Amino acid sequence: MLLRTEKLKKTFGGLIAVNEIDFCIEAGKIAAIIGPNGSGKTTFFNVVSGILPASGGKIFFDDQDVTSRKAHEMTSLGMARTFQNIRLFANLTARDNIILGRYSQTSSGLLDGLFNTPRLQRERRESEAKAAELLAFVGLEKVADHMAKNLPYGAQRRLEIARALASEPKLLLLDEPAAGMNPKEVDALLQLIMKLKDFGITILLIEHQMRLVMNIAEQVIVFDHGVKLAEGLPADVRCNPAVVEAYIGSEVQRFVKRKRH
Amino acid sequence: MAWRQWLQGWRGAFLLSAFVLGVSFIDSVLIRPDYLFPPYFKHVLLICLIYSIAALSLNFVSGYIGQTSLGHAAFFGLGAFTSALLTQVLNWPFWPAFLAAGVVSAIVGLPLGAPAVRVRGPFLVVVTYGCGEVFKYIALNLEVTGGPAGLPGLVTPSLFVSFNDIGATGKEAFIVLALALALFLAFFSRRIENSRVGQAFAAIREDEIAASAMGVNVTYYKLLAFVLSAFFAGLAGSLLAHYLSFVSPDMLSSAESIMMLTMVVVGGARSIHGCFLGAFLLTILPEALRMIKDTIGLPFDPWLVLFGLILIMMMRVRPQGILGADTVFRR
Repeated sequence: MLLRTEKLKKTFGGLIAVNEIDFCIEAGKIAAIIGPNGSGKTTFFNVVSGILPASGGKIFFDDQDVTSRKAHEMTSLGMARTFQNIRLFANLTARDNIILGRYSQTSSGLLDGLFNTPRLQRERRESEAKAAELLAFVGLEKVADHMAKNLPYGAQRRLEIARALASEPKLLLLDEPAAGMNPKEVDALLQLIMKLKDFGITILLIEHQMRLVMNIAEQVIVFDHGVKLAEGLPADVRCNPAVVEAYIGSEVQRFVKRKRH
Repeated sequence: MAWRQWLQGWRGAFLLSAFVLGVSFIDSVLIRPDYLFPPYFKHVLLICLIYSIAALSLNFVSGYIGQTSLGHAAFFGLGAFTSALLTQVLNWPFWPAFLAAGVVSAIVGLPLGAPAVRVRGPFLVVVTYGCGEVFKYIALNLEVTGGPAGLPGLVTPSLFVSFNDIGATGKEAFIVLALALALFLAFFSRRIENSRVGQAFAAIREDEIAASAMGVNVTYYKLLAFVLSAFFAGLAGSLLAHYLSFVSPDMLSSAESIMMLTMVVVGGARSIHGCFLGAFLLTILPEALRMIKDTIGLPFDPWLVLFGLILIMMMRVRPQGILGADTVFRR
């Protein structure tokens, strides 16, 4: 198991955003978390990636207890993520964004900077080569020197994925990667995610676009009001009455059933 | 623009050095009683250089990690009082006291940087302003710091011979020391910009959460910026104290902090040349205006009026500063 949570809980005051979630994902798999708005998906991501501290329960990554690790430590352990509302370094170039993504793979410090040591120079060369490679991988080599904030929306999404890949992660968390994309862009994203899977990267994504989820996910987890409502293969989850109720409400469901009879 | 590129790179450092060293020593070579450059001229030049160091040191916090600090004079004054007390009470020579001023400032900068880990924006302005005022009132009320009168009669630094015996006016050695420190700090800043530390600073300035998701230890780098900033400000404060041979709590006042922040912002945050430009501009302008006021007999000092106008015009026309990059503060 690459990532496992045990009774993971997150509360904000009296609000229970994530309530005792048991979850695990095997290495090399693609899993998707779905659920209505406000069901705790992004909070779950934030707790797992160390941005928010857990209120209870445990997180294991690579069989290590990482419950109390901070976000920057999780990155060096091999977990990378993207954000629901894109969080690029807006005033830096696309290339610099990716070079910063490699931060956890480099190690030179203040004195290396002052004396411009061979280590710093080697790391700079390596980062630049890696950035060029990743920019080409997501098809952004032509806009490498543009500021991130000036890129079109779809390019920003891809740049954020490339930046996450720069840290050479074992597990990639994608928070609504297809949000706001047109069908053509969703197809390109689908191809990209399949390629990442072939590289052996485990992927956990939050997504509302059912076409994407049903096409690539091998495991689907449904959240509702902070609890895990269902888990299983995409086809099974889709027919689960509880899931349908969470999404479209029981009244409508009854209506749909009555019509069928 | 061509003139901006022309100022970039090493040429700026060579030009500045040639100008400063020329002004400092031409009189000594000429050996004439009526100076070509009056001592007052050299005094202003030295103050410009010392404030350049202060602006460059503030640039670590207000430029590189983009945190507005209104308490920088506290570090400056702390360095001044540290070396004043060490030389007067413990009879230390100047040089170890000079270094100790930086170190003590840096050590105090660590807990003062701690609030910046949690608060930002206007809240941090209030916190740093408050911290600065605390230091000022401590200095005003302690007996050992001389109260409102400050400490007069500090030792003059010496290098084989006393600084007062070098050059035509006794200010030349101070000018060379300040120039060396300013140039070193400029070089150090440039190297940091191009290093992994500079990348981490940029990431924090742009987006702290994304920075931590990249593996950047935000707490560590914020404290590092504050410590570096405090260290160099302490050195500058010590240098000014021993040049004037006098420290007073006025060196810790919030007006000083505001002036230093204005130097960075007007010159251009994150721009090394901009820090020099801001420091020279905002030191020379009030002096020049005072001269004009005396000659034409104005009943008031026009400086503060002009200062306000400059700030308004800068915010309106060029908020990133004269030599600043395209964006200064996070939007």
